[in-house]
Amino acid sequence: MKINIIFFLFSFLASASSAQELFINTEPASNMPRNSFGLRIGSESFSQGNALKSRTDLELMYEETGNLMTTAMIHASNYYGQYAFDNFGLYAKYRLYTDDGFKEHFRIAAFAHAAFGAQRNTFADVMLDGGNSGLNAGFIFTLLENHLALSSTLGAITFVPTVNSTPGVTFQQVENYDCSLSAGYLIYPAQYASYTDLNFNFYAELLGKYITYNKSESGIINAEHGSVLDLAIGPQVIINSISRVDLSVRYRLISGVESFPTPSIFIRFEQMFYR
Amino acid sequence: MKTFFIALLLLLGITLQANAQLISADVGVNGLTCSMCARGTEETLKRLDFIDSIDVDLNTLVAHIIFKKNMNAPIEDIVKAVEDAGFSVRNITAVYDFKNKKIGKDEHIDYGNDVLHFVGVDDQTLNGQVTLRFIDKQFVSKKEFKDWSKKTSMTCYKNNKKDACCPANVTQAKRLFHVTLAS
Repeated sequence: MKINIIFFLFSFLASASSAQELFINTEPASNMPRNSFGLRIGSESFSQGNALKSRTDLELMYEETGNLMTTAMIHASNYYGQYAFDNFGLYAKYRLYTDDGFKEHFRIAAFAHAAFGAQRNTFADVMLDGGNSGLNAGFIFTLLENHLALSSTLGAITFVPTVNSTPGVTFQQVENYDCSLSAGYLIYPAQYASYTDLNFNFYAELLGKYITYNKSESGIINAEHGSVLDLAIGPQVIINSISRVDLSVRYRLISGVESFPTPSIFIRFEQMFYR
Repeated sequence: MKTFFIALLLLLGITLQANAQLISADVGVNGLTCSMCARGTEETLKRLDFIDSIDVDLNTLVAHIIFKKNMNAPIEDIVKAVEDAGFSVRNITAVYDFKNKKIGKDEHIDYGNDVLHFVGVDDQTLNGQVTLRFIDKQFVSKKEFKDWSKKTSMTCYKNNKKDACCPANVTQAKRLFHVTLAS
């Protein structure tokens, strides 16, 4: 059934009238214009037991050269008790390869994301946006054809050993290998008339991780591994061709390792600033 | 001495204006589909002080640019601005106002920092508004590039870079473009 849903979603997106690559849960290989800024405010929520857990993200993006984009971000959440500052991160993306055509392109970018902060964790699933310290690096491949925008991110995350929020349990030598496939579709308008037209886009994203780790519980260390695969779907509204509002709901398809609970809801506002 | 140089620069400026003035250009942009990307490209182009107005057709993805009068408007800067926005130029046609400008086969004329190399044209004098089509390798199809290559013996066109064939006015600092008269 799950496979059928995914097949239907991606077939639907493949038959779209126009492609969109402003993905919600992943970054495209494309960058912003040189000397432009972007500001993002986002929030992700899920329920854990009877508690509503939520996280707030603040990101400031700057495009240096047209090929190099850097982002500084801070995160706060109540994931680990009271609502508090979690960590901050630096993200850099460099466009390595560009092949442009009329309403199409293929691009490859390399990225690195370092997160520093409270060094807490609950799961072997590392979340650099949510309290973990670590380093994530990899490549992004984005294909934009007239009818299809597909993007894949391949990365490896290594995780800085932490103070744990579950007493007696520690995760060591954690390695996450992440792989995603995102597709985007312009729903409205069928044809653009002006920048002031509201745009409605729809995205479907498969977000997967393979995780290896040593779990130490009451002094016993076990080498373990497992996979997590989530499906995130949601709409996006573009206002005045300069602001965007993203909404995404994330469901777990494969749960082979302890991870942050789903379903989760993510909402984000982004504003571009041109100098 | 300083006065002499100022006078020389002014004279060069007057010569430039007297020979040709870029009036408008249609610049096709490759690599984008979304209105947010198109707006980013427009905002990047707007930073150029010689642009008077710009209007991007969001369906054909062609930027129609009107230039300020009496200002040097290098096509090189426009190509760079589109690249700075994260995209690339698909094609360019530009309207210049010429005043008694003699051209001919493989004539290279200066326009500010641009040098325009005329390909596939007969000897003639340009007067008034004339539309030029840019036919550099990256601005035309592979087939067109082959066809234009047959119309010039200059290797700079085929090799898509400045070459030994280029006349003295194609200095290292200049940007060479290959153009023809638009039909």
